Amino acid sequence: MPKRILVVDDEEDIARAFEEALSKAGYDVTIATDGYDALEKATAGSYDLITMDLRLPKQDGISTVKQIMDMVRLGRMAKPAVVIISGYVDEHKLELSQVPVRHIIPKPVGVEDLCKIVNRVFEENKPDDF
Amino acid sequence: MNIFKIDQLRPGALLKSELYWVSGEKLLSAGRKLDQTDLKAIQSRKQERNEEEVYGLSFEEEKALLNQEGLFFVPNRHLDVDTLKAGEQVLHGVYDCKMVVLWVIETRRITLQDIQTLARFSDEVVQAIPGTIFVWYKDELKERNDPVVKAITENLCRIQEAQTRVKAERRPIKALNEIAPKEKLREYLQRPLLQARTAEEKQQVTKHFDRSLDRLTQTLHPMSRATRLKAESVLEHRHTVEDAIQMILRDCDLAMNLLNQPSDINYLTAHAFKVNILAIEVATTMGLSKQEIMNVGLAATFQDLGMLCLPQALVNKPMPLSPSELQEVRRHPIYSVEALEKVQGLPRDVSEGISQAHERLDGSGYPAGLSGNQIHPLAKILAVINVYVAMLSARPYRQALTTYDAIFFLLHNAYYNLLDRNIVKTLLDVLSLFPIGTLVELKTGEIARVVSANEEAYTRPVVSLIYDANRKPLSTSCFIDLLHTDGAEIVRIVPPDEFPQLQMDDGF
Repeated sequence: MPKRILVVDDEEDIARAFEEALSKAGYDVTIATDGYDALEKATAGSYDLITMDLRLPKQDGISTVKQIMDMVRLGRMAKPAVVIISGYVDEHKLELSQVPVRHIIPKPVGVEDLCKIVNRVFEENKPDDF
Repeated sequence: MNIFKIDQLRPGALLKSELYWVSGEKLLSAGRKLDQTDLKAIQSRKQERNEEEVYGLSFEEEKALLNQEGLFFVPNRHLDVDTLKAGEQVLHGVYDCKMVVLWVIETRRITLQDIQTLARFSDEVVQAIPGTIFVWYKDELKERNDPVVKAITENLCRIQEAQTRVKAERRPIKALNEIAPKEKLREYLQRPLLQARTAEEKQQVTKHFDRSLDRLTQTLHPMSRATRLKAESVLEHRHTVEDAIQMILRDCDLAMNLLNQPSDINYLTAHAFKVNILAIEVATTMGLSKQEIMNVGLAATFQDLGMLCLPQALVNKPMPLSPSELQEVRRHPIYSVEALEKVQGLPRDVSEGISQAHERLDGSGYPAGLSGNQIHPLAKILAVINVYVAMLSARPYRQALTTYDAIFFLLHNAYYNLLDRNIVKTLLDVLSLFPIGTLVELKTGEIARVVSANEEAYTRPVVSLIYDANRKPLSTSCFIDLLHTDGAEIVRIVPPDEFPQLQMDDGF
């Protein structure tokens, strides 16, 4: 079963670029383009990994991550790996330190680098092969 | 950030700020001396677009705004596009190139097509403002203006809006009967105001609450005879819906707060009232016409008439229903429509809204198993709101859910194509994740009431302070817009029984 990834970015070109690259790498990718979209898909859609832009219409990325963590804590969903991809990281340093995020990548990030990071996240999580 | 009037700009002046048009496009970079050509261009633009003012941002402010969009790029390499040859590889990255910034999204091997693209780029770039971002992805190499424009405009608009919101005064309301049936009511919705309501205004809303409940109880009380709905009561209900619409147009936030008003009336009446208010609010926000909004209000009022035809023991059964019992309950939309059949003058949209309110987008609903666009749009609105309001009420067979849980239930339903996601989205826009009327504690320790939603930030609504950090009541009203106030944040929802002395509309 291919791993499911949710790409959240309000800029469609960037979201599409990420989607294409990650699909080519063998993942099952969905896009969300605003805070509502991200909230709905992330909480209902059981994704293995979420890439999150911080500044989004309707609701910013950090609030969305916090709500995802709430849902996980309440046992409503499995915990996804969250990777923040944003140019707005410095301003949110304190808040970011309070959410369990795997990687924080400042924009712009090339798609090859993104794929490498995503692959690494899934590698780190691989159960032992016996 | 400073605002300059265009007429203030003089030739020979050295620009200390980055200049932007109010619409978000960059005008000139700092460090430049204004000359006559610049001024002529600016003046002609002023005539064309009727723009009188420009914004001057410092370098730090511009960087902060562009950073927000992930658009402040510091190129770390130089790329000489004129000497690139076919077959050469260009690594992905951000390059400094001909005084602009070139972002190559994917590593590429230069083709003959690319050489042509680069030639066009070289021409274009001569006229570009230094520091503009160009993006090269697949076959397109273009200026990345849109997000920059968007970022700046949104931020400038936000700042402007924050100032207007504080100073706004109530506009005189147009009477509902002066509005044509096909007109959208959205523009008549008073922008939520950040001022305390007078006792009179609060009383007017409470009176509407009492009157509506009275009328609804007469029709929806279990002892009433639903099968003989008289024309006069239909007319009264029509007036109730009109009153509700007028009230919402005048002060939608105070109207929303009525959803929190406790009262010991029967479930059907409470449900009809709440669904009415929310359905009108959502329909107005979605841009429906006055006629459509009236219809959704009437449908909300009469949709559960059919429940009165069912045995009360069945309706109030505290345990799960058997399949045949479930089948019987699921016939109630049909009974509701039958009860209305003899009434003249009710638009067909109302009966369709009523009979289809329990249909689901994927065809799993009842009574007819309709799906997708077979379902009447008004029924789709009722479907979402019925679910939300029902979740928040205690029933014989389960406890009430918190608003948080109710909303997540809706999101789940939207994702699995049971409920319409645009309607769920609009409901969130209108309610926020901390619905109007909720008591909250801020990071500063102050206790406040949520008085208005910010549709751009579900977790940052407008709040009105009630107690300071030492739990002392405030003597004057103080409204805080959490979206536009740095560092202000809600840390938890306060259960109403922590402050039992508070009235429902304290803070408004």
